[in-house]
Amino acid sequence: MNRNKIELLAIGVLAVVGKIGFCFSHSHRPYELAQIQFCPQTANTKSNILKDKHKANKLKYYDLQAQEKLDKNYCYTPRYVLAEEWDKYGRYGSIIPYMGSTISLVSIIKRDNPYQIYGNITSLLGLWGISFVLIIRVNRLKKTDYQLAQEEKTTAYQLWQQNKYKREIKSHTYQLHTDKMKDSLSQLDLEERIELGITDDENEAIKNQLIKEDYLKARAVTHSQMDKEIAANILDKHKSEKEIARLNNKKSISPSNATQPTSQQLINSLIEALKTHEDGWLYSIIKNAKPLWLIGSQGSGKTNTAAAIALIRKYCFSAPIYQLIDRHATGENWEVWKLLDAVLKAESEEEIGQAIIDATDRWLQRIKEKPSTKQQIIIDEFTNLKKIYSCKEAAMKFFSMHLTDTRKAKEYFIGVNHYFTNESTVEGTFEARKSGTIQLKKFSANGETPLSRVQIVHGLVDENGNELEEVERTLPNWLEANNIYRHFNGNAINFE
Amino acid sequence: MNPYDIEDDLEQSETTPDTPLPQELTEHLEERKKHRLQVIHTTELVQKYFISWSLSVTGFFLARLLLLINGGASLWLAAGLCFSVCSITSVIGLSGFRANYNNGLEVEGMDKPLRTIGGFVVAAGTTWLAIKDYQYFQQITYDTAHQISADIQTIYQKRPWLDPWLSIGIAAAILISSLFLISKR
Repeated sequence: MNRNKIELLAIGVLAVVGKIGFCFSHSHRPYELAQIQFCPQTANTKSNILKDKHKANKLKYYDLQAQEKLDKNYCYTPRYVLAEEWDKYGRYGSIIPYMGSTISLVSIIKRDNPYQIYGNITSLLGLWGISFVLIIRVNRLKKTDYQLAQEEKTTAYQLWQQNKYKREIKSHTYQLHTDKMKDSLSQLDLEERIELGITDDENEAIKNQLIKEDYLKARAVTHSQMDKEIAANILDKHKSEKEIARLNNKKSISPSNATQPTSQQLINSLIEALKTHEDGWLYSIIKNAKPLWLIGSQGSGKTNTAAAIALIRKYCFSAPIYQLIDRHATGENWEVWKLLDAVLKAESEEEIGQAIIDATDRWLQRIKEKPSTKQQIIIDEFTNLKKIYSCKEAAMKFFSMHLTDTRKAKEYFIGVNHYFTNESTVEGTFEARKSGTIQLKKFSANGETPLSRVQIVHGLVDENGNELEEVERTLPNWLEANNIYRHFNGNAINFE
Repeated sequence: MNPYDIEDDLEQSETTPDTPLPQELTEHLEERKKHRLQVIHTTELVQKYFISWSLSVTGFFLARLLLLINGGASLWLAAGLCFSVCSITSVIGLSGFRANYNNGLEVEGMDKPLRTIGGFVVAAGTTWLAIKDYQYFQQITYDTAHQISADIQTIYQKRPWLDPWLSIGIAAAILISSLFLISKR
C-alpha cells in the first residue's frame, strides 16, 4: 500500500472517530441541577393559638387553612438551581436568600450524558489527527513534486514512444494495403484495356522497361550520392587515423617509449640461432633492408613465415609493425596477425586503397625527416589489389615506390604473394624486382602442409658479392610466428 | 584567487541537456504540473481549514471542561480562553498585512485584517456556543432565587408578624406620650 492510500485511509478513520466523538458529546443538560422547594411555615396553627389564652378567645378569627394555602402556593412549585449554587446555600456568595430549612433540597438532577467529556475528547482527537495527517500529506506532496514530475515525464515519454510505434506500424500496414489495392486495380485496368484493344502485352512490356530503367537510374544516382558520402567519411577517418598514428608513432618510436627491448639474452640467443642456421642466410635476409617478398602456393605457410620474420625484426631490431594491409586481416589470418600488434590495419577495399596511398606519402615524408627509428609494413595478397578497380592505380604506384623508398624511409617491407610475375606485380619492373627485392619462395607438400624447403629466388649474395639465384635452403623448424612471440613472452625457444 | 571567479565558473558550467520531448507531451506535462500544484494548493487549504476547526473545537472543549469542573467561578476564564484559542488562526492570518505612514498611509494586504475580523466573529460565536448552556442554567438559578425572594416579600406583606391595628395603636401611643413629654417641659 503506498503512502497516498495510507494517508487517505487514516483521514477516513479519523473522520469516523471524530464523528462518533461528536455524536457522544451532545447533551441537553450538561450541568448538574438541584431541585429545591420553598415551604414557608404559618404561625396560625390551632395548637399554637390554643396555647395563648388571649388568642384562643379569638380562634374564630384565625385562618386555620393558612398552611395548606401556603404549601399550595409555594411549596409545591418546582424550583431548579445549578447544583453548585445549591452547594453554596447558606454560605457567602449564595444568591438564594437564606431561609433555613424553609428552603430545602428535593433532589440532585444528574447530567443527561455522562460521556460528553469523552465524546468531546474523541472528536478533538479525530480533528487533530486529520489536521496532522493533512500536514504530513502537504509536506510530502511538496517534497515529492519533483520526483513525481520526473516519473510522469518518463512514463509519458515511454507511452508516447509506444503509441508512436503503433501508429507507424498501422500507417505502414495501411500503406501496404493501399499499395496492394493500387496494384490490383492497375492489373484490372490493364486487363480491361487489353480486352478493349487500347494496349497489348508488347506495349506494356516497353512501358515497364522504361519505368524500370528510370528506377534503376534514380537508384544509381542515390547510390552514387551515398558512395560519395561514404568516401568522404572514409577519407576523414583515414585523415584522423593518420594524425593519431603519427602522434602515437612519435611516442611509441621515441627512444624512451620504444618497444621495450626484451631480455638481451633472448635476443642474443635468437640471433645466434639465426646466424648458425645453415650458413646464416636467414639472418642476412631478416637484417636486410630490401623489401622481402614471400612467394608460394596456398598452404605453403607464407603468412606465418612473414609474421615470424616481422616479429624477429620487431623484437631484435626495434622495428614495430606500423601498417598491416590484408583483406583477411581480421579473418582467417587474424590468429597470426594479432601477434604483431600493428598500429594501423587496412582490411576493406576502401581502407586498403587509402592505406597504400598513405604508405607512399609516408615514405616520402620519412625520407625527408631522416628518421632514426625503424618500422615495418606488411602487405598480403598484393596480386588481388591490382584486380580491384579502385585500388589499381594506387597499387601500381605503391609497387614501383616500394622498390626504392622503403629502404630509405627505414621501413622494413614484407610482401606476400602467390607468384611474382609481371602480371602479378607491375610490368617493366623485372630488373628492378630482381635487384631491389629479396624473393623467398615457399612450398607445400599437398597444398595444406608447409614444407621447410625454401628457394631464395633473388636477393642472396655470396661472400664475393655475386648475386645468387634460386638457392635451395631450409627454414628452421622453430621459425613460426607463435614460437617467436612466445620466445619473447615468457616461453623461450630451446634452439638446441 | 578571487572567490567570485569560482562562482562564475559554476554559473557557466554546462549541464547535460534533457531528452527533447515532443510539443504535445511538453504541453501535457505542463498541464500535469499545474494540476499537481492545484492539488497541493487545495490540500493546503483543507489542512488550514481543519487546523482552524480543530483549534475552535479545542477552545470549545476547554471552556466546557472549565465550566464543568469549576462552575461559574471560571466563567470569564473559560470565555477568554475559548476566544483566545479560537482566534489563533485569525491572528496568524494577519501575517502579510503592512500599514505604514510615509507621505500618506500605505497599506498592504488589506484583506488580511478583514479576514481576521471575520475570524474574531467566528471565535466569538464559538465562545458563545461554549458558554450559552451554562448561562442558560445560571439564568434559571437567578430566576429561581429571584422568585423565592419575591415570594418571601409577598408572604410578609400579606401576613405580617404584628396585627396592623396593634401597630397603629403603638404608634399612636408613642406619638401621644411624646407630645405629653414635650408639653410637660
